[in-house]
Amino acid sequence: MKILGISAFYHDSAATLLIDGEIIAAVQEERFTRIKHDKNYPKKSIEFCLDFSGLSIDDVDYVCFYEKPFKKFDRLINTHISFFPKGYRYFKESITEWFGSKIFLKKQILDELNKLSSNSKWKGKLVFSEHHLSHAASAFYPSPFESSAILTIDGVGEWTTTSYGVGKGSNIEISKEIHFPHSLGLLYSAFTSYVGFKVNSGEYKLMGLAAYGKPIYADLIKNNLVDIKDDGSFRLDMSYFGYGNSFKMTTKKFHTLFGAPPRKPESDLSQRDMDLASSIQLVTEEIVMKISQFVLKKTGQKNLVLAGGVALNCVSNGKLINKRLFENIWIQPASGDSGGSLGAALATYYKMLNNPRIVSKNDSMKGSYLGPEYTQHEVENSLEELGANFSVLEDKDLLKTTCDSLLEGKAIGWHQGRMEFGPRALGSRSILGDPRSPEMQKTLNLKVKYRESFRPFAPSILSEAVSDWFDLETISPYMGIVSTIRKTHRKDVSLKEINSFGLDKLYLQRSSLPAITHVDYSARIQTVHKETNLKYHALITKFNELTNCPVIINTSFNIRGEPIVNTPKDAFRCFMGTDLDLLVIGNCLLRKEDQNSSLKKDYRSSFKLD
Amino acid sequence: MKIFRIIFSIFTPLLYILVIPTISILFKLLNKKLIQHSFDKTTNTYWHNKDNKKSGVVDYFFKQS
Repeated sequence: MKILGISAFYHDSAATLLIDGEIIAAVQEERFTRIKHDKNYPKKSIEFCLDFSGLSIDDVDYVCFYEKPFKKFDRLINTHISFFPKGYRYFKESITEWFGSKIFLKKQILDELNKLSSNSKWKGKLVFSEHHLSHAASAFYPSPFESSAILTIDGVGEWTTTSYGVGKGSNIEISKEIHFPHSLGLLYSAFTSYVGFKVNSGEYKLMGLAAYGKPIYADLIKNNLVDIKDDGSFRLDMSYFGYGNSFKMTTKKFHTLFGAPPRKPESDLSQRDMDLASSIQLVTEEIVMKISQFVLKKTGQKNLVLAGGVALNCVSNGKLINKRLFENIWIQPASGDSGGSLGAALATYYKMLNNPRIVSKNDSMKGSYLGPEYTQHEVENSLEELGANFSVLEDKDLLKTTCDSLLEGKAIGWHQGRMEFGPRALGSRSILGDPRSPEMQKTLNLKVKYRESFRPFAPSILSEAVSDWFDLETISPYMGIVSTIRKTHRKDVSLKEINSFGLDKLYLQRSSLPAITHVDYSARIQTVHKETNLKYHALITKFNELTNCPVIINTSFNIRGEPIVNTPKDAFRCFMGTDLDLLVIGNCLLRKEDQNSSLKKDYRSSFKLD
Repeated sequence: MKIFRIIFSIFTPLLYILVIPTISILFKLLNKKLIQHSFDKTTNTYWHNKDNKKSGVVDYFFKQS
């Protein structure tokens, strides 16, 4: 049984291919088109999934789209009726968009599938899964649990913004939901927009910013914007929010409540912005915690699985895990809409077709390394075509040279194996550095990533060593959990330094791993496992042998606004367009000083700032 | 599809003026709210049952005919 899952037409289009329930391939369209969060029909992703598995579309039995468009349209019309007389411009734009393409979505998908068919007529079945069922399925079916409570929280699907239920074997039953416009994801996005970041993109910045502030607005938020019941359910006062009837997230009433208009993008950040970020983060954590307590009480399950955009809030995830409400928690790495393609395919295979489910001991995500890979031959051909100077090394020498370069404080582009599915780079398309270096954070931010980040870089740590370095007793293979660095590795910081402002705080040496330690001693952790990424594990093992430090910096291989690199060509362009010192692709090693300087090209203007 | 686009680009304002206000006013007269805009202090939960359709059947999938 071959099933293709598709998510598209909102943001983060993606495709996933399942064969007899096994996840064979999954990839986001942005990685091919180089358009960040690309929402278009995932043509290239589908082609990749089919090519990778050696199938044609005629071999595919079912294609499942990750949501129901007509239910979404129903929500749109109801919203306009409800918000009348406000919102004509919004109505005009949205109706034009719907009748321009979205209303014909079924035909559009079938037309595209027919184009791929050898006889211009694909004979499989097209089905549509509910948006939150897709999220729930992406969380439960690949998890290592036979049964589990399921919690999905995001911006909005058709009507649902939050849901919970139970997964058992091959079945999922959703019990309760919270409906649009009352949405924790959209509440968080409203603050993202108010603090001057892009919606559906800058939420992680707001989360990073929160650590610098004090939650002095939390009560104001709870007293005015959101009513939270004891069971965690919530409702928003829509007079403060514009997203129901306009293109704006917040209204003048919201701005009056917080005493100022929204911050202009790219302008200086103030303590107030940080306090706002801290406040909404605290409120979010409180809601997630209350819902989880309620879900535990109602389901009686010892396991919990999470998905939906809010499950990408790794600070909240870390606190939920530390609370130990559930014995085990598993979070889908592609929790956003890209993961909807995976969930749609899984829901079709297990829930709709009722196929038996075999639970994998760890999980069924294969480390989330589900994207394209390039053979050594392909890499060498690509590099030769690009005019790159490179040497080919055996694995042992490659690891030794890479580690030596890390010790010299160099920034390294690391392109290996299958690309990651989901928003995080997990050691296949990563930029690496030495976390012990006090300068590394600034160097990577300004010379490679071309940005100031509020969060330090994430650490990749050997899974077997995680509890020696962090206050974390579980694994975090997908960088979905934030935890604090152990006290034994912390350094004292003077009161004067503590009272420093903003990013100055970030660059203080708070631990023996300054480049990955946040102002509150937290870090977004990736545990690296031999079973899923042998080469990356071997690299960190080698680094540990040389330094007694089983941790390296891992940040995504891209510049600001650019999707993570996919091909060797993308990687070479990023290498030559930044101050990366070394590039390792497969077994090819490239040093910046060996490259023809005429190949250097600043390509920052190719991407919109995120 | 193109013809639909042209039709709807012309009739969108008309559609809005005729349909949306009519239904909106009707619902207001009936004191029925499609979407809740504000807090409800009389209830202790905002959760909706998943199985809240008239038929009582939860409809997770739409299958192509």
